[in-house]
Amino acid sequence: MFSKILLRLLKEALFPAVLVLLTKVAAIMIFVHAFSLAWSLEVKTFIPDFTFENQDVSVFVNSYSNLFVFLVVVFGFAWVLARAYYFHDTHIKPSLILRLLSWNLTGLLTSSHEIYHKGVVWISYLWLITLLIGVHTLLGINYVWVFVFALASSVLATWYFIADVERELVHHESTI
Amino acid sequence: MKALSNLALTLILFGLFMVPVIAIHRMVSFETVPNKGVVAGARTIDSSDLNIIPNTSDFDKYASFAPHSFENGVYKDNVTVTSFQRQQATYRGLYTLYNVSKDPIKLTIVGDIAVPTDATFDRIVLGFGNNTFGEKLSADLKKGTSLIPMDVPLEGVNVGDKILIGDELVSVLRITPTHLVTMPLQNTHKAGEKMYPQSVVLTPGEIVFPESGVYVLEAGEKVLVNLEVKGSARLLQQDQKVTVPLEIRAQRLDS
Repeated sequence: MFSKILLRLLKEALFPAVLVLLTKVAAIMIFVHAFSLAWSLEVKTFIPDFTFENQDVSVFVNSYSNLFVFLVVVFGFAWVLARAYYFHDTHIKPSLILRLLSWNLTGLLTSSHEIYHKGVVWISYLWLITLLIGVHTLLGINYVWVFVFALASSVLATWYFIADVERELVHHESTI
Repeated sequence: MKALSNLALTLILFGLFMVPVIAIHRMVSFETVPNKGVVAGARTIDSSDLNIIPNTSDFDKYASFAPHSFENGVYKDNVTVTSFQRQQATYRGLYTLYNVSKDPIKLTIVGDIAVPTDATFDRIVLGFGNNTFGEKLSADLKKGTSLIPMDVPLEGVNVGDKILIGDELVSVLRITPTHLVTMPLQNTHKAGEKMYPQSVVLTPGEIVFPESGVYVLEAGEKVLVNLEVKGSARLLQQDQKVTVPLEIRAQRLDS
């Protein structure tokens, strides 16, 4: 009755959703304590609202916490890419399979079905966060260099992902 | 039916992507913060708002200070005073606090840190006051009475505050020029016993009252911190030192 793809995507999207939220809160608290910033917290809806003493402090905390969130998402996506490149069952080296077996790490092996669902979810978050950082930069509440870094990293990561998908398509066509 | 279910799933998936992103967007507020009132407590009091000056000159060798820090509106110190056998020593103006900011500041003395356990003293009282620290009772007060005669008004006490008589803390209901009307007293008190605004009270090894009442210091005003120590009859020598860790906590009036 339900689409298997949608169900799978929902399942894969849960962890990054929670991770992104927790990372933002944790990053704000880390900077508050590291720099002894005065802050206050209101919870009007379910979203906590951090207020700082002035605009400069708010921009500082917002920029670096956004950077933290982006880094977490990019590392998550990098892990998906690494598995796609090295542990994908369609093109994994036999010697690596034997090594994984000896180390009892066969759980790292991944199928196209799994890896591309994960890939779609993580790349979506990657670009959503990049877009958010871009909007914040336009509004003047985020440092420009954070946006430039995020954009460049997202473009690079996307290129690698597309390259892997293309390689997979070529491999699939050659085996038919 | 399948199409509807999948549409619902799609919307849920969309929500799962958008909700965290929107939450992150909203998490840091960029509202303009006015100087007073809106963001209560966002900027803590520091030495640019409140000058806390230990009195290192009036007490000669009888009092000494070891201030640790003044951060986040909390001034920490270990003050050492001399306790005299069987005598009550009053250190009036142990600290002078000046409000050099534009706004009123709420002050509290906290003694709930580490109470001295040595038996060099019977009781220590620590509180605010610019004039005499505490007033003596002019008459006996029986248990159950609510009317306390005053020769002079008790400084720093307002309706709703508490006053300290002996070891009893009692709420003030009304203030007249000659009397304090309080909740009924639980104990009998003799004439000559002192009453204070709500103050920190320590006995050896016990924190009887951990905090003073709140003192609101107006902009440009000053207030003194006073300490009274009743020396123990069991002192080994005529005078001995006792160290009292304390904190003076300062907050903006609307926090």
